[in-house]
Amino acid sequence: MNAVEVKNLYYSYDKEKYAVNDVSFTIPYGSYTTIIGHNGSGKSTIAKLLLGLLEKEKGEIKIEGLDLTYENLGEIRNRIGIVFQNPDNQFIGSTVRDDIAFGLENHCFEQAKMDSIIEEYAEKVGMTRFLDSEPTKLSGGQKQRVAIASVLAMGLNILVFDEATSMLDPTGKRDISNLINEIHNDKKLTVVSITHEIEEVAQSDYVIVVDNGKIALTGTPKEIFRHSDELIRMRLDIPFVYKVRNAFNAKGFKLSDTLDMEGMADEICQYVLKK
Amino acid sequence: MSIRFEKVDFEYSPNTPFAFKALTDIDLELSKDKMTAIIGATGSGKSTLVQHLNALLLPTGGKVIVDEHTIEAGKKFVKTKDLRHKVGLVFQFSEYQLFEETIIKDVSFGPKNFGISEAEAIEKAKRALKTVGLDESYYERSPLELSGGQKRRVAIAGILAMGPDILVLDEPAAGLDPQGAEQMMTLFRKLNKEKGITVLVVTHNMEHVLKYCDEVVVLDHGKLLMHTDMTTFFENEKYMEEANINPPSIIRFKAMLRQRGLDIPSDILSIEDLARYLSRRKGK
Amino acid sequence: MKNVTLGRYIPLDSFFHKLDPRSKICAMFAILIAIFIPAGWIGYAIIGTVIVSCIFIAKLQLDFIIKAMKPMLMMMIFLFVINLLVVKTGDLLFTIGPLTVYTDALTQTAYIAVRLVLMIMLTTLLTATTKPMDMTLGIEDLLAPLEKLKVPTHDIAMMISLALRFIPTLIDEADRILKAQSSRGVDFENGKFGEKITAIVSLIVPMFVSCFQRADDLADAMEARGYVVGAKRVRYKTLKFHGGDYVVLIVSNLILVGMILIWIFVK
Repeated sequence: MNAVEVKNLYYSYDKEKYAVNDVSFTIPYGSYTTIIGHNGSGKSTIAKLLLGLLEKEKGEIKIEGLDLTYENLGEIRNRIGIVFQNPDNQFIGSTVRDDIAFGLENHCFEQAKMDSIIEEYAEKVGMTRFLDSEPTKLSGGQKQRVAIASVLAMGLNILVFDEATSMLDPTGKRDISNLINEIHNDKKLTVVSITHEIEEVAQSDYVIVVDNGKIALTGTPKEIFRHSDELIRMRLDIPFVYKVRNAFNAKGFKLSDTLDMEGMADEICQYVLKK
Repeated sequence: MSIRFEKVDFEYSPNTPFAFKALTDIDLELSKDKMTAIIGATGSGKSTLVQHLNALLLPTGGKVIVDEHTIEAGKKFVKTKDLRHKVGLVFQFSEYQLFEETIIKDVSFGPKNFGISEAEAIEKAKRALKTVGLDESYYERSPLELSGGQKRRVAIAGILAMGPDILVLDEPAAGLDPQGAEQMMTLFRKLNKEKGITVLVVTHNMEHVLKYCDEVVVLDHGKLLMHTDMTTFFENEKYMEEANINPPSIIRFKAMLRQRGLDIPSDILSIEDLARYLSRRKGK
Repeated sequence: MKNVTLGRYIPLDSFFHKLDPRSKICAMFAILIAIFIPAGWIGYAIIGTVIVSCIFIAKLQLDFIIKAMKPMLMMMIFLFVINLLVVKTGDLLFTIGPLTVYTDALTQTAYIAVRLVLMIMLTTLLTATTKPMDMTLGIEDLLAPLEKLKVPTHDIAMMISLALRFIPTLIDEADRILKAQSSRGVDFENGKFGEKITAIVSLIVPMFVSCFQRADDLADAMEARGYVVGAKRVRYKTLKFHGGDYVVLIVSNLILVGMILIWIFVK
């Protein structure tokens, strides 16, 4: 069974053009999958469809084998959660504590257990010190930590990140991507990350490339980056090492498709220094 | 003709329990006709600094000099309108400043506020829209129905139409996709090099600083840490460490190659130059 | 805008801060009614003394309370003038040209002023010692009986708490848009009537756009975390009465009864 299965999915905002056009993909359990595409390619729409925040027009979505329908929306949201882009607009409670509690209240957790759950997840994301802080006192990165804790605390297995680091400064970005890696490692969570951060894509297990509402490419990062020209045509970035490789190979070098910067430096040095 | 900060202090809500000192003793002279990056961690005072340039904030100590205008702490500054005509400031997420029914109206709004006639303002708006890459078909459309990136272009056109000598941009590329961001920065570079507009960019993106800017100003906790030219900044690991920034990939890669015994001149700052240089060396 | 003290919560550690918001709200209403009972100057002296001592117990600074009254000053002056002109009973005090002023006008105006001052002190005492979130919980609980009449008390409470949560965010946003439009040459302070209108439109339209955007995002975030309007939820925070709460309720009701007695017997 896969964590997420999508078959022939369609969605349109204005009936003129499909924003999501015959999209099919699967996301295996425990994987770290990235979805890339330029702004307006339809990737965020896909994320909202997975959560049932938008109603699909046609097609099938299965979350841990369960069909996404109006009737079992509640159950679906027990299994899959999402962290959005804007840190301010998803901070619901008046303090960190209240914000984590919000999801627990909705899912009718036992009141007596809430405190210990809240404290456990606040610690997991390193926000114990700020439990009673108001959102205005927190940085963007800290607010995103709280959003992650709030979603994790509900005890679900699949986490979607919709450009969760794009509004953060470099420190916040680094913090949050490290945190995502951490929770992916120790809990066997399935992570689906919609992102523009090409280095994050390079480190993921699978990549789904969306262009114009359609799936353009799928595969491991190495398989995807083999299509550099196509990616650039789709207004996407490629990792630095691939840019180096392409530029040097155009000058007659024969560098491998390693994703490791150090390895690439070794190869270049061998070429230049051996004569 | 100059842009100068002399011993500038700035404090938010002074003499209240919420008082907060955002700038301390800033002495800085910015080069005209250059493209300068203003960098530093969140809360280091970057946005506060640039808001002094068009008198949105007035210094609580020292003075700010922009060409013939001097804004001095404790003295009333009356030529606000003239100064704002000269210094165009584009805010973070500037797409939220659009409000007119049509794009052409919104872009000509600025010039009209500065007393330019309707017809001339429309002319200026058209030119500005062309500069940002939006053609006639956009004139009569509502700014609200555009994509995020296009909205931002309209907002920037709205400032360009005012015809500023100095263009100040607060994180103009935030939230855009990588290519959208590159196009945006290329546009500013072009405005700087071809039209001679002085450009100041507040940014967190070091790749952009390296690729598009001439000079770097680093702020740290409201103080000026350094002001230097771009090449010097990226050639000195110590500087980057002090500024607490993660060097751009090309700089890190050059360091790796140097560690392996390849010496690479400091003025090589792009992958293409590096490839060209090393392929020539390979032949020897 | 950021310096307004009226209605602001002041985080301190005092007897009043620890009270259950429900008892504070009830006590406030009891005293509010007491203020409107015409028990004469003795009554106001008693209530005034009680409120001032409460302010001290709450560790609040008196000048904070006075600052809170500033926005009401204009209204008081307005009432004062209207009263002086309208009330024509009692003895004639003096005449200036066509203007005649009677003794009742003075006393009545003084009464109104004292009532207003007491009311502001009282409400400030409540808002300064109660977190907005606790206030919402208190209101929700007190309104709970209305749920039987199909009043969506929980949704109302949720709306209030979200509104409170987003006020600082929206103030920051308004500040940014104001600055952005000022940079485009909008003059928010001077300018003719027509220019003023444009200035306001240039602020309000972007604020609307941004509010709708935020509301959309917020709705998605809430729904994704399992919120369903009207559905059953378990509440994380529950309110609890302590000894102090009973004391406050009893004292406030005694004052109310006292005022009624003074009204009936002393007059």
